[in-house]
Amino acid sequence: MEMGSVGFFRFEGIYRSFATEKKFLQESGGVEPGQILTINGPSGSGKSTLLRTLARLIKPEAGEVFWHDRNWRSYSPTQWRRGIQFVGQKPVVFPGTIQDNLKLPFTLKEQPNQGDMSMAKAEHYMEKVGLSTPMLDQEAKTMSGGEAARIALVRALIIEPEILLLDEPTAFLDQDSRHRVINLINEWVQENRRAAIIVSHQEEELQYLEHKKILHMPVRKAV
Amino acid sequence: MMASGYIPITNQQLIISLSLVLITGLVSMFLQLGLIKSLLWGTVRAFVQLTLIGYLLTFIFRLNHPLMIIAIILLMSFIASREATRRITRTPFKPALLSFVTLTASTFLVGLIVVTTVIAPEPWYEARVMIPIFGMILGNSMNAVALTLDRMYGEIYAHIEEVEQMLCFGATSWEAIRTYARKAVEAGMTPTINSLMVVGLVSLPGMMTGQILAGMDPQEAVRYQFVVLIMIAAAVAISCLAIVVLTYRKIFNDEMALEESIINK
Repeated sequence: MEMGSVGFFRFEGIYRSFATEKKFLQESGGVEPGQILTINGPSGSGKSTLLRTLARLIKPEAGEVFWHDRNWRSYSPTQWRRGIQFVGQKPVVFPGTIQDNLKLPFTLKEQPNQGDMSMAKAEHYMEKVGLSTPMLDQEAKTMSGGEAARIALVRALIIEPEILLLDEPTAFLDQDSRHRVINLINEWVQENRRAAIIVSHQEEELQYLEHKKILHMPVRKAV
Repeated sequence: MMASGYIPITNQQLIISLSLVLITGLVSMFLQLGLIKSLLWGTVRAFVQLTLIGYLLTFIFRLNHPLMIIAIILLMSFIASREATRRITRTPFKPALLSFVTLTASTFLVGLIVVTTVIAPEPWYEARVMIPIFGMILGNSMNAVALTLDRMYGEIYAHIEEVEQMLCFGATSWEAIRTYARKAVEAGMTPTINSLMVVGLVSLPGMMTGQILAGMDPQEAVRYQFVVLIMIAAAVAISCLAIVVLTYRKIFNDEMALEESIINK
């Protein structure tokens, strides 16, 4: 990317200190449509904190984020979080069936995409990650960790964001499911010209991600 | 309207009633509850407090000055708001001020409607009517506010991840906590609704009992009690809703994200 142009999605000089541990994070980076940014680094380097900051769940002490050349403060937090979907490390499951869980984002006042959710799309993504559609009527709380993680990903995708922020998306998955999830992310990014920023420890699986660049985050100690 | 048929309690009769304390004391001794000291102290305190309030009320009723009545009701609201929030330690903010606003607003709103339009004494600010009516509203609203706050923040702390996930879906801060706010208001209102259900069947309310003992025709006493119950229910509903609406934003920052003190708890 050219200097001076901020482009599709870019974060600049995100700074945050961890008072109790005398550490801080300071990072810049970005993604373009069709691209994946993977963030790696030792634990404690602030990878998850960076991701949560980009989702505007945590405030940085300094730094700016731009999306479509516009500063993040010019978007409402709700608009921002719908367009930039954060999926945390631990999948969050709400009471009700799996179908209720998938529909939940569409019950909000400012509905994503101003319409009803596409069940066909949900089923398509579920199939891709190895989940069968008859399970839609199953109580969501009865899902295994791996199933819940995949449903959380499907739920984020049907909101149709432009960017996915994924924190350890394959942590709860077996080998086969991992490959399916990686393939789905690759496909979604490429076919829709979307972008993803992924935090992961799984070096081996990251190599299957296409069109990626890597941001290595060291542990920065405050002096 | 106050009937003249009540039977006064003489000093001797009052002393006889103290023998009932002995029964309580014996229970405590028999079970070795170690409550004798508290029981005696409680009895003395109740007697002294009630005697003083008796004199104070006589004075206030005689004076019957509207500003003084309002000042007393504000003082009662202040004490009630502190009491309602004293045991609430889970909120990341001090809810006493907002509880005061809630209790004062709901008490004056409902209390004034009842006093000016239903009971309609002459003058409208008659202390003999205002103070007991407002006091009953406050006592009930105070408990409702305490229950609501406790439930609301208990639920939210137990569901931090869900609240955050809702925010990630693009929910507003209200939408993110709506489920828990609903449960909290329900918890605050349930005792009042239950008492509407069983009144007259399981219990005769204190006010009605008092009026009957004071010689009032039971049918008249029932009318009063009905108005009071409806009034309390309305004030409780307003208080529960108001305390939720006034406090929930406090756990979010200006970015509509949860305050970090809550996430890190």
